[in-house]
Amino acid sequence: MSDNDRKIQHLTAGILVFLLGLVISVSSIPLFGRVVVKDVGPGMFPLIVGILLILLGLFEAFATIRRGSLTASPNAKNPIKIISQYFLEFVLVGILVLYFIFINIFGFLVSTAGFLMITSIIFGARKWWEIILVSVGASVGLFWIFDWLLSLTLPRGLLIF
Amino acid sequence: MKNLGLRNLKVTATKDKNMETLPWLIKGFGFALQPDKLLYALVGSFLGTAVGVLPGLGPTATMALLLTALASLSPVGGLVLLAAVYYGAMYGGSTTSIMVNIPGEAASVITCLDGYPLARQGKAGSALSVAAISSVVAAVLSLVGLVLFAPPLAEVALAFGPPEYLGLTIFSLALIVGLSGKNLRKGFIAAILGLAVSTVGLDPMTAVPRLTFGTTRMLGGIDVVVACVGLFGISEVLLNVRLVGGGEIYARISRLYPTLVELRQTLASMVRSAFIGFFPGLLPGCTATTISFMAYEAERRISKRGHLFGSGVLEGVAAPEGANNAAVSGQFVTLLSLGIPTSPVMAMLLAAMMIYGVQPGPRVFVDHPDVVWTVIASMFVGNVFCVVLNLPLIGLWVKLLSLPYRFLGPMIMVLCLIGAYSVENTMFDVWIMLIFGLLGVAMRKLDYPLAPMVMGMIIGPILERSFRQTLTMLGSLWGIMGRPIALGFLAITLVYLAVVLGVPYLRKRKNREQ
Repeated sequence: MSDNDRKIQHLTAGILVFLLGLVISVSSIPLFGRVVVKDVGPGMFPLIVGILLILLGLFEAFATIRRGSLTASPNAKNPIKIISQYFLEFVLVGILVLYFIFINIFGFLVSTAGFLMITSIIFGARKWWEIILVSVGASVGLFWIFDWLLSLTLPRGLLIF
Repeated sequence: MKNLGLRNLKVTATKDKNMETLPWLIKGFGFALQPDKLLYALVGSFLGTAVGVLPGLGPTATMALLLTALASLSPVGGLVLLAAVYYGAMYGGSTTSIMVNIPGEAASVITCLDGYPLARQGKAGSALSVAAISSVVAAVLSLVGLVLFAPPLAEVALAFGPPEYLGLTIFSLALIVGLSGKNLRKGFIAAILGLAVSTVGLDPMTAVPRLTFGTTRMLGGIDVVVACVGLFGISEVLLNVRLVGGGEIYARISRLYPTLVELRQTLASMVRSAFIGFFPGLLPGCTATTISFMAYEAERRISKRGHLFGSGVLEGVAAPEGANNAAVSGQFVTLLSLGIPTSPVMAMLLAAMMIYGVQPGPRVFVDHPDVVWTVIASMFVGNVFCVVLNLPLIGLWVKLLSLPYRFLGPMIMVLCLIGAYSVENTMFDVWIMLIFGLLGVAMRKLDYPLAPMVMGMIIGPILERSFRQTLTMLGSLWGIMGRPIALGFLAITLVYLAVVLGVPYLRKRKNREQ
């Protein structure tokens, strides 16, 4: 990653911190009209935190700009390049999202076995018998430890497990 | 007048206690070494260790589950078992922090910083051993402190009001900023982000919803464990997916136990952590988690290898692990002497004591010496059980690392899901965990330290409460000028910040001049 790319990332982070501070501050102002105990309302602390974030965000952004001029990154022009650069991470997050959705439908045992199979392939597993054995074994083992042994009710979904 | 009455009562209790400490402690050992009490301590230590190792199932939840089940036991038996669960969890909590970068419970978050790099260097065995040995050394030293200093130290804790807590938490915040090393600005941003997260949910004083954006699910706030599992666990696996490509991320494990040189290197850290853990543990609101952060930062400043902290240094494991165990003894002092629970776990113990008809407070050493001294004596015995249980298990834990990362990585993600889900049995927390996981990836890619953010989340509620109570109590922040302890903390904070910010600036200027 070039120095210019890093600067753009830090500038973006500074702007995001600034925006977050702005959202927190704006959300806290209406709270001043609510319950107030001796002039110390529920909005005071979040407002201070929000203002601090605004200041720090601005400071971070200016500090990045001060370090040298920025040129538009080639990656910034081409979102497809960014996606291909972080392809595996995006795929893994996508699978996690699907896993969290399916766990409510198919339950912990089935969804976890499926999730472990797919992700272990992404992580480099190739022997199919090894993948099936570990995935099914681990999901049953974890279900046994947490649900049956420790009575932590894991998501059952529409199926029994 | 009420305060005077309490003070007189305390003085009487203190005198009684001082006169009878040794005989009662000996009697306590006599009871604690009876077979049934030994069994309770063993079962509690084992349960606690398991609870600490498994992410998501913290000591508070376990003790809540056990409360009703143990009602049929004798007061001594039940309390011995519950206390053992707590310090057992402090031992076990380090295991997953070191092995897979997932804190087993909140007090072991900081152990990830050096424990996990050590595991990746093939030194998981040494790190786990040092964590266990440091825990027992600090626990035994702090228990001696509990026996000797409980009444006078409880008096000091009584002098702490909201302004003093405000001073203490501001000092803690400054320590966190210092924790970020070179990236002070980024550390400060991360700490303030943590404070922002801590304000989500119902306002603790007025029950007004804040930053919930209209959703009822957010009223309870964001659980620190859920956030930590995402920040540390999920982000770790997401970052490793590119690195591994089917290979291994852990170096070959050379040995299971630390060398004598390593033990000698960490011995001073272990002893220091006992003191750093014990004294703040007396203060309500100073949780084992906060204390482990303080111990880590103090050790980073004191240790000769402080500049290497974060890259895999055994002192970075010994300090927080010793401190969180020593904090348990400090918390016991406040619970027993004042009847004030200093953490949610202590609140559970208080509930258990009430169930058994033992009222903690200034008279507990007079009214129930048999129960109190047996529990204290059993803590010495139970800590030995914990280390005896943990050291042989190290081989088993380390063997888990030989599992190829192509299977371990996905399993860590499933464990993260279980950890987040089990906090409130809801998938909503799992989604929150994923969001924090992505935030963790972004922060780590941009060199924002995670530890200050976690610390901000933990001390946020204490800081806000003491800030608002101070304003309500004193009318304005200027009133702190009349509170010497609070003023002292603020002065130390200023000096600390001046050193942390000033030294690198002066060094840079000197280099420029050369």
